[in-house]
Amino acid sequence: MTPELIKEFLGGDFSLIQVGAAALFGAVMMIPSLIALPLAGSLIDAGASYTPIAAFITTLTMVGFVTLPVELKELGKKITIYRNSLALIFAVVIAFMIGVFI
Amino acid sequence: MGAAKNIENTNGKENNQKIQAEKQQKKIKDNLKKIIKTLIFWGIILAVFKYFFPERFPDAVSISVRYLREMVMIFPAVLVIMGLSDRWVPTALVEKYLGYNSSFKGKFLAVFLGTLPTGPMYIAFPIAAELLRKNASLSNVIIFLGVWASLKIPQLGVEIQFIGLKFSILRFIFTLISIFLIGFIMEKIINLEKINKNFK
Repeated sequence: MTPELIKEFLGGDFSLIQVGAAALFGAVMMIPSLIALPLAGSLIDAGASYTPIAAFITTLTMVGFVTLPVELKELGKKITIYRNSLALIFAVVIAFMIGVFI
Repeated sequence: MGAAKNIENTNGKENNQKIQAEKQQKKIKDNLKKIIKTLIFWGIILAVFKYFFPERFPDAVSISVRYLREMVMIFPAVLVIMGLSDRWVPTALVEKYLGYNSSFKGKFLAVFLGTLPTGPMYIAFPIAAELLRKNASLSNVIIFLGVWASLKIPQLGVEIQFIGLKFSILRFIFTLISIFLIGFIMEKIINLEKINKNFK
C-alpha cells in the first residue's frame, strides 16, 4: 500500500460515498494500528475530514476480512456474518456521530 | 458359550479399532488434501500478483512472510494456553461472571478483559470460542471481541498522540456504545442453543 493510494481514497471533500468507501477500505485492509494511526493523523493534518478517517479506523479494527477464515472456523458462520456486517454498519454511524460532534 | 462370546467380543473390538484407524487415516488424508488445496490456492494468487504487479512483488512477499512468521510464533503458544485454560478454568466460574445472569458486572468485566491485551485479532477468536463453550453469554463475548479489536489501551495512546485527544475520546465513547448495541442485537437475533452444538 502506498500513502498516495490511501490519500486518494480518504482525502478531499466530505460525502456519503466517501465515508462508505473509507469504511469498506478499512474492512478489507489489514494494517497494524501502529502504522495506520500515524497515517490517519498525517491525513488529517493534510486536510482530510474526520468522518472518513473515523470510519476507516473503526472498520480497520473491528471488521476483519483477512481474519475472516479464522473467525469462521472458531465462531461459526452466523456469529461471524452478523458481527462483521453489524460492525460495518455501526462504523458508518460512529463516523457520522464523530463528524457531528467534533 | 462364554468362550464363544469372548471371541465375538474381541472380534468386535478389533473391528472397532480397525474402523477407528480407517477413520483416522481418512481424516489425515482429508487434512492433507486441504493443505495441498490451500497451497495451490496461494500459489495461484502469488502467480497472479507477480504477473500484474511485478515491481511490488518482493515487498508483498516479505510482508506476507512477516505475518506468517508472526502467526507461527504466536499461535502454538495460544493453543497451549487455550488447552490449559480449558482444563483449569471451570465452566461454573465463566458462567457466573460472564454468563447470562451476570448483568452489568459481566459487561464491565468483558470490557476490562478486552482492553488489557495487545494481541492481534486472530488470537481473540479462539478465546471467544472458548468463552462461548463455557457458557458465557453471546453479548459479553461480542463485547469482548469488539473491545479487543478497537479499544485497546496501548492503541488509544497512539491514537491520542497522532490524531488528537478529542477524536479519541469521542471514538471511544461511540464505539463502546455501538459495541454494546451490537452485542445486544446479536443476542436477540441469534439463538445460541442451535449454534452451541458446534461448540460442544
